[in-house]
Amino acid sequence: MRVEAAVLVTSILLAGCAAGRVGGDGESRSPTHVGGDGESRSPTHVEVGASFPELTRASRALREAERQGAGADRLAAMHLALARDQLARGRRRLSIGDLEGARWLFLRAEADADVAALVVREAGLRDAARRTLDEVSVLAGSRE
Amino acid sequence: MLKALRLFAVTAALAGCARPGGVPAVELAAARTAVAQAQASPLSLLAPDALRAAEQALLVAEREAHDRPRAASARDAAYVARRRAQCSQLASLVESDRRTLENARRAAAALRARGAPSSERHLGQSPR
Repeated sequence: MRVEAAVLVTSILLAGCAAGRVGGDGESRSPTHVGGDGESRSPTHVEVGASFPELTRASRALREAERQGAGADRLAAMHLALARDQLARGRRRLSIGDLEGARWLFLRAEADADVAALVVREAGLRDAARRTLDEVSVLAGSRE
Repeated sequence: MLKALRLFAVTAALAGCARPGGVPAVELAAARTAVAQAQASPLSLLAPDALRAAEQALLVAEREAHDRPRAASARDAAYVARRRAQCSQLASLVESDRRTLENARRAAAALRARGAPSSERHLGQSPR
């Protein structure tokens, strides 16, 4: 009876855990192995860069956000940090062959980097517009 | 004893199922709200591509949530959709600011041309 109970508990618990495999970063992911022959391989960075457009796009978006000065704005810097973190986690996932997990993390990184770039661009344009409108007021006032 | 163990086993199994499944529903709702806000914004017409990207991202999130509700990809897709909605709102604001700036510069130039004191030095500065 006890053996039966133990088997029941173990099998149900295992079934419950298997439903959502927990990855190294605490998220359940469905791994897609690199090899088409059913073998799990660790791709090199060269292979990764060539075959992973999401990684390329995320890296490019991150560089663009940095170039626009996202690090200097508090909100933009937060999104920049999220993008960096997700890019790093995506690379780690890629190194263990979890292509799907990596792909989603790169998409998240790209989206956060885009938000960071837009936040800083919007702030800059808004400030420039406000200063120019002030100038217009001064110019108009001096004509009266 | 066996009854208690069975109860424990069922509870544990349900907890195992509920944890990954519950989160995407909340995140998907947040993504839907964010995209709806972007769509409702009168400025969204200024950046139609960004709005389309947000709507497309939401469709992907809906599909992931439907097809694989317990997978991390459902949560990731909802996250991306929410961020794309933010991008849509921000891109609209960027375009609006850019137009305001252009109009202000034109107005300033017109005023200067009519003989107002020159503010060339001030207006010629970089926007940033």
